[in-house]
Amino acid sequence: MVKTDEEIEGAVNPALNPFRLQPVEIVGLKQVTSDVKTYTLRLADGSHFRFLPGQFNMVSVIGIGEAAISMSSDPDELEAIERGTWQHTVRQVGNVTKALDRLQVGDRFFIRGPYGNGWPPGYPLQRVGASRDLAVIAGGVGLAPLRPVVCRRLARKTGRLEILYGARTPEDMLFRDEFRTWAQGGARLMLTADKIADGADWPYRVGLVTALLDEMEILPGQGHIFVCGPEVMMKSVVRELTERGWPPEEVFLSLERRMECGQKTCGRCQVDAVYVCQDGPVFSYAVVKELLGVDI
Amino acid sequence: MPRKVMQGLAGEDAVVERTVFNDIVTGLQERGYTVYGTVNEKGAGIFRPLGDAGEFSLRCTGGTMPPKDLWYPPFETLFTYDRQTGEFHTDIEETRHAVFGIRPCDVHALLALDEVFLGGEYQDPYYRARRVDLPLIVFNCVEAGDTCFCSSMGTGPGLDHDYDLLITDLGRSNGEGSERFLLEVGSSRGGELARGLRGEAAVDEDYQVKKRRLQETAAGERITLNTGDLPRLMHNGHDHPYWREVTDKCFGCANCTSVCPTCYCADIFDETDFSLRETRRKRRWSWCFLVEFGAVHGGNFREERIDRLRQFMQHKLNFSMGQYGFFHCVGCGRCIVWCPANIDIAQTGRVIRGDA
Repeated sequence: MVKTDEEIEGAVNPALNPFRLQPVEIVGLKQVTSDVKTYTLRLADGSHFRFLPGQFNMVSVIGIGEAAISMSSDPDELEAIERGTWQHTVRQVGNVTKALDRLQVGDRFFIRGPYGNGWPPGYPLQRVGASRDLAVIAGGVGLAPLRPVVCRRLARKTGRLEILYGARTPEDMLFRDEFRTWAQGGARLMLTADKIADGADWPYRVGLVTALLDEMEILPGQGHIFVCGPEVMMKSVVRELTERGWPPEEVFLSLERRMECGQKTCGRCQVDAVYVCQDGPVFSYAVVKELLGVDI
Repeated sequence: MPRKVMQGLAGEDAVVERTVFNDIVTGLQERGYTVYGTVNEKGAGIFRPLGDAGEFSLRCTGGTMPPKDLWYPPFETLFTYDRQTGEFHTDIEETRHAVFGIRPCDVHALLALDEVFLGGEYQDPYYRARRVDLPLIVFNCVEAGDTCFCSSMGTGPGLDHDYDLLITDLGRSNGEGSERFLLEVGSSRGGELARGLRGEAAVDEDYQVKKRRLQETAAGERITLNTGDLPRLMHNGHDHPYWREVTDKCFGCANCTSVCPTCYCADIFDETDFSLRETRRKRRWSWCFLVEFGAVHGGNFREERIDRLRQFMQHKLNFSMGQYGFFHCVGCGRCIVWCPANIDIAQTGRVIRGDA
C-alpha cells in the first residue's frame, strides 16, 4: 500500500534532519607534520560529542564544502571527557582541508556525525577480547584513526600491543612526539620510512611497512590486526599476512572512499553491496576480499 | 444496459469509460493536488501537470523520462546559511503531487527509492516531504514498448500493490462499443477518489480479460532476462571478457543513469551568491559514469571506463539485491532507448550469466 502521513512517522522535524550541522570551536591547534595539523575541538553549544574509535565526521567549511575525516583522539580519555573535547588530525590535500588549515584557535566550523561503524565490533574490546593481543599497521595519515585504539589500549594495559608504522619520510610521520610515551606504556613500536635524507639520523628501517612484518612477535591465533593506509599498502600487507597464516577474520581494514553524505543515500562510497560510510569504514579482510571492485 | 453507481468504498472495483479519467483528475485537483501525467509532446511522452485528462496520452507507455523528479528532483537546496548572521534556514515544503498514469515499473522504482531514502538509519526529510502525500493512479500496461522487460524483472506489466487506483484497458467488448477500463481501488484514498464515479460493478470476466491482456503484454516483450540466481552469476562473471566488449562501445555519457528511475546517486556541494551574503548547500543528481565519481585525493577507485560501466550494471543486477533485497533494475528499458551506442543491460546480463 502507498504509505500515508500516519504510516510515515511524524511530521518533518528540523532537529531530526540528518544534514543539520553542529558548530564546533577550535580550542587547540598543533602542527603535526609540515602539512598535517591536529585540531582539538568542542561543540559550540557545550554538549558532549560521543563517538567510537574509527568513526568519522563530515566536516564542513561553509562555502567550500564537506569532507569525511576520522576522529584521532581517544573518546574515553578522562581529561577530554571533562573538557568535552575531541580531535581530528587532518592533512591538507583538498579544498576543505586547505580551508581548515587557515583557521585559528577560537575559530568555528561545522560538523555532522559521527558516522560509520568504527574499529571491530565490540570495541572497547569486549568481543575482540581485551586480553588478546593487538597489532596496528598504519601507513601515512592512516595512523590518525588508529590513534584512539592505541591510546585506549595503553590506558587499559591489556594484552600486547604492537605498532607497525610506515610513512614516506620520517618527517611525514604523525604523532612522533607521542612514540616515547607509547613505548613506555608498553607498546612495541616498529617504524619504517620509504626514504630518508642523506645523512639523516634514522635508527629504524627504510622501506615499505611490509618490511616490518617479520619483526612482529604477535602471531596468528594470538590476537587481531587493524590496518589503515593507502589501498595499495593495505593490499600488500594483507597478502603478506595471509602468507604468514593470519586468518582473514582477524584482520580488519579501514577503507577510504569518496563520501558526500555518510547516510547511504549519495551512493558515492558503494563497493559491491556495501556502503563504506555506514557498513564500514572498517571491515574484516574476510569481507573485503569477497567484495567486487576492491583490489585488496 | 443499466448502470450501478459505485459506492466508492476501498476494494470496490468497477468497469468505467474513458470519461471517468477526467473525473479522477478533477477530483485530485479539487483536493489540492497538482496532477502529473504523460503528455505526448512531439513524439516524446513527458510527465507534466495536466490541465485535464484530455491531454493525457495512454500510448506513452512509461514516458520518455520517469517521473522520478517529482520525489527526487535533479537539484535541490538542503539549507541556506546566512553569512552575516550565521543562521541556517531549512525550507522543507510538503508537496502535493499526484501521478496519473504512472506504470508498474516506475512504481517499483519509487518503492526502491523509498528504501534508499526512508528505509535506513537516517530518514531523508526532503524526500519524505515529497513522498508523504503522493497519490498514484497506476495504469497497467496492455502493450509492451520495444525495450520493455518488466515481466523478466517481476515489476510488470501489471501491479498488485502500492496503488491508490489501478486502471487496466480492457479493450472494447467484441471489438466494438465503447472502450472499457477496469478500475481497481487499492487504498482508502483511492476509494475516496472513486466515490461517485459512474461505472458498472466489476465481474469475474473483467478480471479474466485483464489477466489475459497482461499475459499477452508479457508475452509480447521482446527483451528477456532470466533473473534466477542472477546476482551470483553476475558476481562470478565480474571478469567476463564481454565487459571489455561493451566498454569499447560505451561513450561514458551517463545517459543511462540519467534516465534510470532508480538511480539516486548525488553530489552535495556549496554555492555562494555573488553578494557573499548566502551560501546554499545543494544536492544534485550524480552518476557513477562520471570520471570523478569515485575519485579521492591521490587516486580514483574507478579510474577506467570498464569499472564505471560494470559498477552501473552490477549495481542494478547484483549489488542492489545484497543491499535491499530486490533488483534496482525494473526493466523499464529507458537506458537502452537512450544509449547512443545501443548498449543493452538485459543483453549484457544474458551474456554474463551465460544465456547468450
